[in-house]
Amino acid sequence: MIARNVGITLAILLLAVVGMGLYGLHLRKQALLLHAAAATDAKPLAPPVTGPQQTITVFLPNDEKGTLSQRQITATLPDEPTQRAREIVHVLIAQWQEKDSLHPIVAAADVNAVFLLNNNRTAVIDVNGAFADQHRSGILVEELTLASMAKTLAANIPGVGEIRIVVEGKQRETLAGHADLMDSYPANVEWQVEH
Amino acid sequence: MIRRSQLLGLALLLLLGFSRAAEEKKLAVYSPQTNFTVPVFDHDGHEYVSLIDLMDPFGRAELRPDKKRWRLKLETPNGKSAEGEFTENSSQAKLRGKKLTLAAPYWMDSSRGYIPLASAHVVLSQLLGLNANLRENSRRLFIGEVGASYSVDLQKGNPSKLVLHFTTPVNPTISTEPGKVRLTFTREPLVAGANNPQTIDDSVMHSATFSEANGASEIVVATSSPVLATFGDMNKTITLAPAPVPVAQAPKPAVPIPSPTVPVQPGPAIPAAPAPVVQRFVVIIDPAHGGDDPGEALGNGLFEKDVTLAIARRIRNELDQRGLAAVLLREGDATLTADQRAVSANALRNGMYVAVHVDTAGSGVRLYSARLSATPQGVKFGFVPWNSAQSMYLDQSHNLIASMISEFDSRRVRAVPLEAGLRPLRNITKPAIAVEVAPAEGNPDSLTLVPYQQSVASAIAAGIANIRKPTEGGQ
Repeated sequence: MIARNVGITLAILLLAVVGMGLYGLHLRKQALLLHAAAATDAKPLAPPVTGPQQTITVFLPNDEKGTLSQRQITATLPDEPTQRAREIVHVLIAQWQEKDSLHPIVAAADVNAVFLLNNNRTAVIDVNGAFADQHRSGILVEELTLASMAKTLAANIPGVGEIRIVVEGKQRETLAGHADLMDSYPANVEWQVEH
Repeated sequence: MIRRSQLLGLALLLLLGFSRAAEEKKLAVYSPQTNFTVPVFDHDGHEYVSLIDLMDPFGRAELRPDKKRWRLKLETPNGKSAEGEFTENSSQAKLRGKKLTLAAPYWMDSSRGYIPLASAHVVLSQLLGLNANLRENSRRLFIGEVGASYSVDLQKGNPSKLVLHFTTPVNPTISTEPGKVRLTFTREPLVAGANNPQTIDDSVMHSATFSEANGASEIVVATSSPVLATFGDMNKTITLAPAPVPVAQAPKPAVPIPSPTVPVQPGPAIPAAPAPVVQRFVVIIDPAHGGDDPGEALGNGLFEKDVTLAIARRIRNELDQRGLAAVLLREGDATLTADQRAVSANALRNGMYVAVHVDTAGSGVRLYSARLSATPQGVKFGFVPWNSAQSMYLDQSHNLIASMISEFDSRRVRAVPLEAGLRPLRNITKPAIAVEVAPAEGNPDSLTLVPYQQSVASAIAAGIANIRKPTEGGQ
């Protein structure tokens, strides 16, 4: 026979254990949510851009159809040409990173800098490691990435006729196993464009 | 002092040694559905073959780990399936529920399973439910009632002709050496004729000898003067006849070219003049990626490099059936650079190049020709830059794509022509295209399904055959 006071103490202790367990589960759930939010916010911080708001033309790839879609979007663009070109590519990549993007790319992918050579004819785009290392592999998807960048820059920076891609400042043979990065990519390449 | 001739002899010996060391071991598998070769590896004193390489041509083969065991599942195109179970470093295996002792322990390397060559016929026989016969010394495996034979017929005349009749169409590699013509069969299940070696009563062609080694068979015809080979009867006959000798020209001084495998047999009538090397039309199929470069991850542990190889083998079989010779740039899981692929493809002068890629994005098939830089530099000096080597053949490449698209259309597979800055496409000095196979419309899993792969391979082969008639490959 258990004494009454012992029984009451045991019941209180049991309730405390159950309560602590439930509170622990709640804390774990909150920690997971915070962790997930941090993971999706892996995009590198870019310095704030100053300049007027302008409408630019972007060519967004559609991996399923193998086409480009021409869109007008508004962006804050600096006046200096290379910074302006860098911001245009940054905005373009941000479009690929949207939730419903038809040409998805990892959130960490970004452009480091764009250099304009030969009287702006050649745009050398320096992308970060994540852009190339985690790019989807395939002839079509890699070609669409290059076509999208080349046509977008050509549409917004007068004189751009071709692009070259370097990764973290260095030449790389292919983007993700297919598209040749050792040669320049022409902006006037024929591709089916949906308006 | 070492004399110059001694140095040359030493260099020749070294070359012979290297050429023999570089010869890859191969197992040839002949079956009613398909003929193919797989690389053979030496391990722990035994010869091994990759289980997936061996099973893949018969259907969809998957090897999955299950604790300490590896489970093999094979789904054949006719809907049948078979399962096997292997344990690393153990000779005990289970196939279709029956226990089996392998000739050597099952070997795993880089997630690929290997079985001893000596047990390959038993494993295939159990899984496919067909009789299999292994000729271990020559590394040739016959499954079911396959086997092609031949007969030799001397047609007397001036000059006489030696006609080799085969029971099935053949595509041998023909090479000539002083005193002999060598017909090498790498894809045909050819077996020895009734009389071997067969003596021939002729002043030019003396004997025909059949032999087999390293996954191939060959017929060597001993001759006393150069002969020419011509194909006929849809590649079922090969006729050997003495090559015409120009009367006005005196025979050039002999340049003895020693054979690395067979001693030179001096020809008594004409002093060992090297006969013309036969340049046959060959389709070069390049299964993209391989080895350290897996390509796109397709899920379930499958990579692009595995599926490209499977499709490439099907294309080769389809071409074989159309009487066109084809070679694969890689037979196993080898790492090849773009430059190595281009150099290998360019080494064969007469042919076409088809690279096979696989992608999960989109649907249907995309056919790429090379996108080249605006103007190739240096053409005026008679040289074409490496990156524009394809420029002279672009029109032919476009024709090839057009021919394939009409074949895909007839099979109701969506196919689109595109351009790509893709290597080694731009470095190839012959008609060259890349085929990127995406899933069939409405079926994302179809990339690994045998009927879809077969349909794609059939369209590609038919597209090639349309613009390259089998008879053109005869000379």
